[in-house]
Amino acid sequence: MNSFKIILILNVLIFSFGCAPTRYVKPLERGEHSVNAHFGGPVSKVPGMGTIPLPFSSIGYGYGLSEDLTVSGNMYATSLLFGVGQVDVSACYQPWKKDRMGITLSPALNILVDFYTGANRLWPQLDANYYFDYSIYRSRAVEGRNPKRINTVYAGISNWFDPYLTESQGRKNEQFWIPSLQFGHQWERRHWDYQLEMKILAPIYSNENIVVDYPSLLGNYGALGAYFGVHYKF
Amino acid sequence: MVLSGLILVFITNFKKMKKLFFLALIVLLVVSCRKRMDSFLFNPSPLETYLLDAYQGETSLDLSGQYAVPNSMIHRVEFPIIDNGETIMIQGIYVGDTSSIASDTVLLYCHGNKDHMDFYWPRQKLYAHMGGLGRYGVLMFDYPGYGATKGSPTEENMYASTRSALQWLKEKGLTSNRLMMMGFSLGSAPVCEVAGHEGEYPLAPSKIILEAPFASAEILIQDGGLLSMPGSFLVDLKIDNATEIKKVNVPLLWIHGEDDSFLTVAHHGQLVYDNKPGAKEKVLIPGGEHETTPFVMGYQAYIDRIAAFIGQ
Repeated sequence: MNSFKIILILNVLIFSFGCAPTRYVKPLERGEHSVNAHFGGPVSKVPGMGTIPLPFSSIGYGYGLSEDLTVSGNMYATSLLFGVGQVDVSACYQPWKKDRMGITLSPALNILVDFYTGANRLWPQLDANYYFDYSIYRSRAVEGRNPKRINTVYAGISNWFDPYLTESQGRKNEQFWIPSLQFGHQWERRHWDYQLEMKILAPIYSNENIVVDYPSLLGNYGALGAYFGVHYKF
Repeated sequence: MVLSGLILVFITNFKKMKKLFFLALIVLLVVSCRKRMDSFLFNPSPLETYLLDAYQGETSLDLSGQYAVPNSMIHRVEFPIIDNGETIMIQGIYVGDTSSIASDTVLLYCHGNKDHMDFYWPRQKLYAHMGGLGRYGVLMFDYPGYGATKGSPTEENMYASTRSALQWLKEKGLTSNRLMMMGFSLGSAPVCEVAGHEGEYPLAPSKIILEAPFASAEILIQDGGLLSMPGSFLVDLKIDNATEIKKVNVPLLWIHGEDDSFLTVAHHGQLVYDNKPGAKEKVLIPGGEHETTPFVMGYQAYIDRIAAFIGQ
């Protein structure tokens, strides 16, 4: 088994909660549909290849139920390689918006099922993001709706919860809450949106004594994640 | 009837469902080529031949000449297993007198997951000095895929090669009351497997020694990740020493370095030890890491402790 494969599977194992960026930084418009794909993952030093984000990938669909609420579902391709179906169902709710900025809350439920053994897990997730549209350009053709170009920066926190109190052999689960911090940029166009995001994964947990070398902004804690996303709206 | 109904719906709506069908097909293909992490547990290196003292690569311990073993006591041995319908020969090294196995006490050493016997050769030399050079015979062997042993490194093959080693010892006249088994790290799995299934292997050990044992494949997975992930998500391995040890009735000596960060005392060795019924002893070494416990403890103190346990 070569180094790349080893590191890929270790990432699946260690940072499975860090396999995707923020799905919807802000809600879709009412009645709007979106399909999306995301790539990227924890940044690792891969011998012979340098320091790269590992290629987790997922595809998803979202629908704008109202101006402030979008529902979505996503499927993870990397888990399928292990015979494990991983999907999430999530919502993006905007409780506050003012001028060019807003806050969104995104609860999600991550569902994993081993197709071979039936073993399964449900991991709830709650993300919160603040966004700011620092540049808006409206063309005359779409005045008042669907601005042609919006550039947005955002930052927030992602929280995974592991509600299983005991692990194998009755051991106590010591990691109930796994937070990550994210910072990103979104290029919003009439039909296509592009997104770049950086994450500090699990900054409260040590990254020592792990076979893989994870560069982190916090030294011996957490790991860095890098992601790219693309949305098509219709 | 339900199936034929579904087929009918599928045929009549094939055009509409074509995209869904192809998506399902892709998912099915990806899932059916299921990746497993099992091989990650095994970390073998192939060898053309064993060099022992002449080996220049990394070794498990750095021993002084004090623990040298004369060539007259070193015997290359081999015994067969069937791997995927093909007979392969397990390569082993016996230190002692092969002609007196019928009357000697023998230690069967199951090595860890790394490299091959040349890597672990210093350990075998140490054990050959327990109670004085030649007091006990010591047999070590390479699992399939390790060193000069051909075949695939799998859990089943690891047990099959241990069975074959026991058969070889039995044919040389060894009896269960003179067999001791010792497992280091990964090697704790075949020791617990044999000791926990008395009567199912050619011989059963009368005492076992586990150094830095791991509790189970699932705990290894859960220790590596932050989420409480079921082992089956990533591995097919069934290794579960923490459960197997509950069936072991012979005395256990557990040795573990307190600074072992790969297989921690708390999550691995302690679980195995706590689950062991009956006679058991433990030696926890402050400052000892996964590979370094004999060095930190002191080589002589280390083998004296094991010899004392065997000799009780």
